[in-house]
Amino acid sequence: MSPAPGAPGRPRTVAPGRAASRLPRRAATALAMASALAVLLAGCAPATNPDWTPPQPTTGQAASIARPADGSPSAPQAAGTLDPASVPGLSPQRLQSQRAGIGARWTYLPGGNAHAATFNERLDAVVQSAIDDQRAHAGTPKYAPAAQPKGSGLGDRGCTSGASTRDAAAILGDPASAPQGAGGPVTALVCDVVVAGGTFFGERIRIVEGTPGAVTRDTATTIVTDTATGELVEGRALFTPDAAAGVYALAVAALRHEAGALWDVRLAPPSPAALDAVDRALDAAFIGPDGSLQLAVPGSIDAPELASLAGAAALAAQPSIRLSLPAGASSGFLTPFAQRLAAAAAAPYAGPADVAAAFDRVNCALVPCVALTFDDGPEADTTGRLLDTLAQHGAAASFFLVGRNVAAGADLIRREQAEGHTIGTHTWSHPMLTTLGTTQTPAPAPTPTGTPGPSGSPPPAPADHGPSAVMQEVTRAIDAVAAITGSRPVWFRPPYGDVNDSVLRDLARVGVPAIDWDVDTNDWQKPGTDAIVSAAATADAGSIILMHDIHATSVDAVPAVLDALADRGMVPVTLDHLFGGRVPAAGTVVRSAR
Amino acid sequence: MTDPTDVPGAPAAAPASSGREGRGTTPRMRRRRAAVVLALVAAVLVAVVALVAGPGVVRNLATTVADGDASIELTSGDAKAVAPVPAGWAVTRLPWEGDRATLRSPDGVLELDLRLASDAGASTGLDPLAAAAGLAGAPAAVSSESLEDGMTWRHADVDASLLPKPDADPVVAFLAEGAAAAPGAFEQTASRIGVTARTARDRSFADYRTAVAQVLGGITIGAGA
Repeated sequence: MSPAPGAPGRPRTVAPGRAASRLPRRAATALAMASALAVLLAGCAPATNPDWTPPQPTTGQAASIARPADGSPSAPQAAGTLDPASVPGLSPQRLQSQRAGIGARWTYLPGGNAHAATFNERLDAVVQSAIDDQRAHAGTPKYAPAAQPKGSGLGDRGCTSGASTRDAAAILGDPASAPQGAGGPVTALVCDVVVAGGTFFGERIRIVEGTPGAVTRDTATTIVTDTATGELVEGRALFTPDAAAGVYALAVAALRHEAGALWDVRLAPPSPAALDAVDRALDAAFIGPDGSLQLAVPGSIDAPELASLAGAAALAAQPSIRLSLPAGASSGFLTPFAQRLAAAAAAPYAGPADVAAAFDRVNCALVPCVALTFDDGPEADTTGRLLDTLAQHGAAASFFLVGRNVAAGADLIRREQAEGHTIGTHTWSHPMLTTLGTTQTPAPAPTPTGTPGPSGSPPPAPADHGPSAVMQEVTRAIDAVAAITGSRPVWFRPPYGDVNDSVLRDLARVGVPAIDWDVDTNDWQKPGTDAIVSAAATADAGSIILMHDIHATSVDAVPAVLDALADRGMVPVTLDHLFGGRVPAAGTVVRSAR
Repeated sequence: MTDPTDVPGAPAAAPASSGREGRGTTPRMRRRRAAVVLALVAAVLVAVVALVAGPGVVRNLATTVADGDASIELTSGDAKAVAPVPAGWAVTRLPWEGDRATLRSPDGVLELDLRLASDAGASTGLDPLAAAAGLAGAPAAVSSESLEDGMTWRHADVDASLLPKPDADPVVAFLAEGAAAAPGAFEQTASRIGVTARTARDRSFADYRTAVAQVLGGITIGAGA
């Protein structure tokens, strides 16, 4: 018996037709698999690694172009500078004179301690030098502080972030930095706060001369002080003598990459012209808040390694290219002082603390100073509010106190003293002194040399107080104030400004001058804020402005008065400050500091 | 089960063929026709797949990823160039293109197309590269840099205005031509390597300049082996 078909051991036979149908099926299957494999292979490209980051520039590109938002390396930008508002207590300053062709903005350190004073005095010297240079170069009239026309906008003062890195023509063409319409070359001095870290504070001063169409001078320097020691270092002195060559190499490397280079190359030794350009750049360089070295080099700097690059021509057309060298790359170029500065640049600021405005520096030889004076207080309802307003506006003032009000207002007087305002007296009971008897003469008929009494009402009837009545009125008030402040006031204002020779002689015996005024706001008539402001705004450098702190309407008008004075460039100071700390001679009448 | 025809003693079946032929076509013929149709469909399918997936398959099969820093050699006539391949970069080399290779950064953003030329009569400059890349023209401003290894490179970034298809992806971003010659002898040098860099449309070539510099800076050109 033969095994059943298909059983093991028996050859397998397939019908020809069935075999023919299986072959294409197998081939189709194979083809389908091949196609699927092909599709699979086509989609199986080597995997990418999205986390991979391309290599970064090496040390040769340590210096980078400081690029503003619009991408132009030389356009205005504030790279590496600070917002002055972020530094507490700074005292912003501004002067402007179209006649003298000068505009200047700078910022003092607060207070008057010796270390701050050293820095502030240096700023004054730089400003004065710019004024002198303007006159020498442009032949403009001598500058004298003076109130500017209404609407001058001079309340905007001090350094502004990025101001010193702007295009020179833009600085001259901006009414915020230079007088416009002077008809000839002018000088603008602008500044940036560049360092306020640890005990270090630095300001970069830029001086530009000429017209927006023709800049004839463009210099900058950075003044840095360690406020803990008073050490003051300026400009190129922040850097080692041989820093220029190293900075040149980094600068050219950065410029090469800006111009399209792919590689760092070995540079030829810099030419004297190139080194000179870098030295000038270092003179204007500064250490930024992050410790980086910020400087600007001319785009046309002499460097043969730039010549063959695609962007060389565009670079050469740039008057200056701002570069930023990170702290690590620039430390070798810094003096020990600058190294300490760079290390402290990012630390919390620990410079001079904020103080009341009266203790801040104001140089009345540079800016038009005025004295805002308030009579008849203190008054509980109004004087405190006035002091608040003065503090908010950073203004100082002078108070002529009536003796009989002193006891009730002792705390207000102490506050006036603590905030640095000048405290004077205004007699004990506010009489017309010419109606009182003097030491050597009987009571004379009233012959006021000052402004008539308020409201035009007739002065009080003469009363025979005896020969010492004037002196008693004056000294009693002085004694009352001294009992509170601990020092005898030396400033005195006669009520109604009413004095005569006899009164003045008695004032001389007491040892006080008669401080009158040249600007009367007539605020006691309550004419409204606009009228008070209009009257006050007629002040000029050296003016003494009369107001009263016992009237709510007067105090209400003070913010607008301060704004109006600031708009015209004036700075309210105390009488002590207005007269340079020298009290006018006793027994003399003074109406202004002019 | 067994075929009933093999069962002993069973009556003889009528010839199978006679009955089927009687219906016009035999199963065998139908199977053959089906097989032919199937074969044709398969052939079309294969052709389509080859057209669609073929280049990708070839490219992928020709692509390797460098495990560590490596190099590739390009040859053209008597010229030979060696280019570095940093670790992680992908290299695509077609077997029949010994003068050409494409390097792709590990993140897939940057693609460097390298081509070695050894034609002494060929025009120099970036114009041929620009034309081959389909640009509207060659960049006007060209940088020239000579490296300490003797290579001189002429290169330029491609301005967007030269791109014929602004929405192309990847974007031709950079062209370069290098020769083992001093700048003054560049024109007379027969062996030059051209480089076309493309980046993903949504990425900045500036971020990859250093990577390009590293690759190009490692390229050398010499006489063929």
